[in-house]
Amino acid sequence: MRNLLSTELFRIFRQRKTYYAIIAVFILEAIIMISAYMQGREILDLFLENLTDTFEFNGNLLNGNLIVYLVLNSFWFHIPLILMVVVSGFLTSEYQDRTVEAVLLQPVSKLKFIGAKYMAALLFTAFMLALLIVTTFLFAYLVFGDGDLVVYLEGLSFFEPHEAFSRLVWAFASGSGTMLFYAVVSLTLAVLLREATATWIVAALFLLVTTLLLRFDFGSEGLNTYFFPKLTDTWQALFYVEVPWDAILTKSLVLLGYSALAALLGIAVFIKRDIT
Amino acid sequence: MRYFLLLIGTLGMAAAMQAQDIDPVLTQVKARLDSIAGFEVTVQMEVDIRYVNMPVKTAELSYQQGNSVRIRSEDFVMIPKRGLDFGLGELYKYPFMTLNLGEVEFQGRPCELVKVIPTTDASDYSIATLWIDSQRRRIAKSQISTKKNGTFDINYAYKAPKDVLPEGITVNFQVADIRIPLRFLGREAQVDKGQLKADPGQKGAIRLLFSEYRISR
Repeated sequence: MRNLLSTELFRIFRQRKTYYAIIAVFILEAIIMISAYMQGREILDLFLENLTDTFEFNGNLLNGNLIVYLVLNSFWFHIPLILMVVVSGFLTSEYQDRTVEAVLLQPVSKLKFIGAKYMAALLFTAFMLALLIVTTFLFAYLVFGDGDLVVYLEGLSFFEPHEAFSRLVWAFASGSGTMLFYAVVSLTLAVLLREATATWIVAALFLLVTTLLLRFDFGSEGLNTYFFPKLTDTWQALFYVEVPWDAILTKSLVLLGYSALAALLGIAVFIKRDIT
Repeated sequence: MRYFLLLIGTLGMAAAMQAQDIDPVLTQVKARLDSIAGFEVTVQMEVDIRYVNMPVKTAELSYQQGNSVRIRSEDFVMIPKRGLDFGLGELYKYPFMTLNLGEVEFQGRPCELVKVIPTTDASDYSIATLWIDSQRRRIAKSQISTKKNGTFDINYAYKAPKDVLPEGITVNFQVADIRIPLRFLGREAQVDKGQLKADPGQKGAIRLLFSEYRISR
């Protein structure tokens, strides 16, 4: 299993498309930072517009913490889309090149093979997120400096720099759980569909529908709380004045359960299905 | 020469009339405040607006007579546009007349109720009402109706009876509500500003707590 995982990781980092994904993440990050700089002042003016009659403001809100928060908002769609495309490719490319058959003709169990794929997908996702998080904090603080974070979530909330940093780190950690869920789902879709283009389309559709269902009222408290689309924005709760830690932990664990279910489904289908 | 003397005389009369128009109780307070050349003080600011969640902020405030106050803070702070007129400089900036409405009680203290009415359009307030503690020669409360920024109700709290500089100031005001899309900073960043302004009329306040005055006379 360890050898399979090592081989899988070696293969991932030998592929050109892996580096395309890394570059795509960096480009996305740069675009967000540039647009944040261009639009940030306007957005802040909008926030504070109704207070300008009464107050004068002292301090800079267009700072590194706001920029990190803006990048964090790419967890809604952009980052999961890149991850789903790349991760699903780990398996669809093997179906396309017929290397799945070649590998499984060797004394390699199907369980270990697909298990290594899922583990590699998780490790790759974690690597990409770590890269995104570290570079985001680094560039944001280096270029824009430190300062209070202002967030609009049930009102205007201001967080002092140390508090903002702590909340952003936790939000990235919570959001990473959502990204891992999407990565696992995309690999399961690859198992089910096998063909690259079909998998990408369905993965993008899955992401779109999930995002739309996030705002949909199912008329049931259980569904509105624990149906998987409702669990993909848990990281937003880190920016409430009082952080609902219990709810965040519960929702994160339920999403982990969904991820495990998706992985089990993919593994079961892969094992049951003939190689050819 | 005759016209020049006439002009000087008219200006002198105007100055004398203005001097007569200012209530002596207010003049006493102003004189007392003018005895302070400047000061520095640590200020804690607590914003109380329904849709604003802001921790208590600390800043250093410095005042020099004739200048507006300066605030230094490492954090982002919101400074009320009214309420920090320690030397009554903003009130005295343009000519005005006063109208004493007699004695009223405010927070258990006898106060002179004085209306301050600008006599020029240049002033940025239309009327100010002052509750002046005549015995202690300091302002207990003021209400300033500005031309552009609404009305400010300002309450002053003092530590000791002899103090002229407040230990605390509460500024009450009206503020419009805001409505901004939840995901304002995501890909749907285009926001219609016109739709965001709601009905004005919501009340807000900021409480300022001063400590460690360093006064220069």
